[in-house]
Amino acid sequence: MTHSTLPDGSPIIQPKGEIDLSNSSSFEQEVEAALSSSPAACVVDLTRVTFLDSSVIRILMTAQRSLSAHQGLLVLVVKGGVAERVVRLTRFDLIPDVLVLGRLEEAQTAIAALRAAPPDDASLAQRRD
Amino acid sequence: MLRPGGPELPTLEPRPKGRDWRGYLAAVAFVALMTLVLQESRPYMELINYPVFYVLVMMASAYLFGEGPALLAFLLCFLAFAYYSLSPGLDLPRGSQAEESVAKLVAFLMGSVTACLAMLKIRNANRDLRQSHRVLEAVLEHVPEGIAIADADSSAISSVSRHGLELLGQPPEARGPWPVEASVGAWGLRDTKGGERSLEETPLWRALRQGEVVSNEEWRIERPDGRVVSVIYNAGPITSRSGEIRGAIAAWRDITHLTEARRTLEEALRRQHYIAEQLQRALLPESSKVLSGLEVAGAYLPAYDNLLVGGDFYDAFETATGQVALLVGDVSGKGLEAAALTAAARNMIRGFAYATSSAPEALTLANAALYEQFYAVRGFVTVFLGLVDPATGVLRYVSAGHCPAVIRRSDGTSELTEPTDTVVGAIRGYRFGGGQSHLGPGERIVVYTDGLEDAKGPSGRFGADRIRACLTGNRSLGAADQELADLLHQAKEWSEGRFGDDVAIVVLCRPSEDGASPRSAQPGGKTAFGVEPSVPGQGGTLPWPYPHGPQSGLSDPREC
Repeated sequence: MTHSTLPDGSPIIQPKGEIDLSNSSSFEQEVEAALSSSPAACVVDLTRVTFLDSSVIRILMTAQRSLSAHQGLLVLVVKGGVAERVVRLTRFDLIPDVLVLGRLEEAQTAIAALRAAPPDDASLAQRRD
Repeated sequence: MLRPGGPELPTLEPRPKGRDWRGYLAAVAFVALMTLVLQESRPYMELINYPVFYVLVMMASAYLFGEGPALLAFLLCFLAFAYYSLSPGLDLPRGSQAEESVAKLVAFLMGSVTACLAMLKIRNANRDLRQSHRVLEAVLEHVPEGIAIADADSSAISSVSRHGLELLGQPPEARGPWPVEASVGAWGLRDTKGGERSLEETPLWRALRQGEVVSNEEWRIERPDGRVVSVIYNAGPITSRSGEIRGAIAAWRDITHLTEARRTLEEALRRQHYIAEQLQRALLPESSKVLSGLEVAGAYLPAYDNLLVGGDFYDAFETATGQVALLVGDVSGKGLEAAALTAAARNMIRGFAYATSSAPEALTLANAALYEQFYAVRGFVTVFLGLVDPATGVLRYVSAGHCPAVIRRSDGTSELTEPTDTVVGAIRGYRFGGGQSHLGPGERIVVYTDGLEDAKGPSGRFGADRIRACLTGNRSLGAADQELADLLHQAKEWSEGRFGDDVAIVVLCRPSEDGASPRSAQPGGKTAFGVEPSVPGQGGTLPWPYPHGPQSGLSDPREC
């Protein structure tokens, strides 16, 4: 896994390969470490993940809870493959304080845009429709 | 000895700070003493023999006191001998003999330097040897592992560390050499099951005779006092510079407490698995039935070799308004914790679905009710809940983080349901939206958990596309339970009978327009639900009602 940050200092986590119950604990530690400083946003780039199971969903859901406790954003980057399928099946896009993007480069502007105009319940309902 | 490039050894001989004057003094005393002796023995000894004695003095000084005193002794000896050789005050023959004396002096010089250097070298080598030996002794004494060193020529174990003797149940004062055979004989080395092994199979022998490096092999030691010690063994050859095996070293560590802990853990897991499986079985409905004219069949198969039971479940029931509800879920996590949550989730969703007759409403309520319980374990449940109107075939469903369900159309094509919502139990206050579809006459819906998609075979995962392919095409349609058995059969063949994760599947068929159930059209079918039970363990599902739960009717993947 590689580490970097967005220009605003939000951590980016970029796991690779297959993540399942057997090795998800290291991914979990990575996420916990990134969230320990209560960042305004945390980006998880799943574009290089070839397989993931429900243990990853659990870790991402936990991350969302911990981030949304202080109005932080969870940004998921997926582009095709199993990761996109799982994120799409789980409808992360409907979860408050979660952004699903196709490219890591969009993260900074998308976060800024959301901060400028936070979605209200009506727009959430619209997205669902 | 320890090879160069190996560990740096501590210096055991403390290096003197400044010059040790005692060595120099002793060297002077040696030379003075020797000169005195030679002076007294002049009447009996030729001058030519003097150098021999002086060289002896220098060698002794070099060996006992080191370089500095040796150099001093050399200078003094040289002066003394030169005095004897050249002093005109002595009654020495002159002339040609003077040149002879100079030649002798040069010979003496060369001889004494060579002797001194040799002596110094021996002195240092001896010191290093003693030092290495002491380090080795300290290693053998203090490392908390059994260590044995064997010699290739004598085929004997020359020494065993104190801790090694302790592990072998031998008295601490026991001293080698022992024949290599002792390890299987007197020392009771056995395999992990307690079986006797030949000498050729033991780690030390393999290292000594075949040059094999043995790493982390588990063995057992049956000690003379009857105690059994589990050990982990490492061994390797000691080779000469030319690569010839000169000996071997073996090390063994006591892992008895680890093996016991492992056994206890396995036992606990097995017990937990049994309890969780019983819980799981008690939760599951019978395998097939007819609800408001719709045929439903379901199955749950536990993972092949996972001791922890997963949280997959399925259910099918009629709601208060007469709709037929189809429920498949997968609780994250495994074991007893998951089994308990599975019970809570399934019953709660069933209750809310029955009362509300609305899939989104039922799951919104269940989510609110289950949130705290799931939050405590940071878990969630993926759910597919579909409500079919038996009269119109309208299907209202929620696919909450779950695999899409496959709808088989009457023309042989298939469709997947849309993922409509996120998982249940993870987001506080989440409102479920859901989606809608339609089941025409003769059409059917198959809902399953991801264990089916992820079933691994030699050529990869079974996958959603293959599941879809199994359910579509111009194949004759069987009854719901037949459809289910076919799908399971293909998945089992793919994964060679072993599912890596639990699998739950439900199939619901809407009868064709003529009202005939597909089953009644089957040759040999007596009545819609009159098919004789399959032989347990032979595949197929059982007719409703079946008193012993579904597993005994479906072939167990463990038996495949």
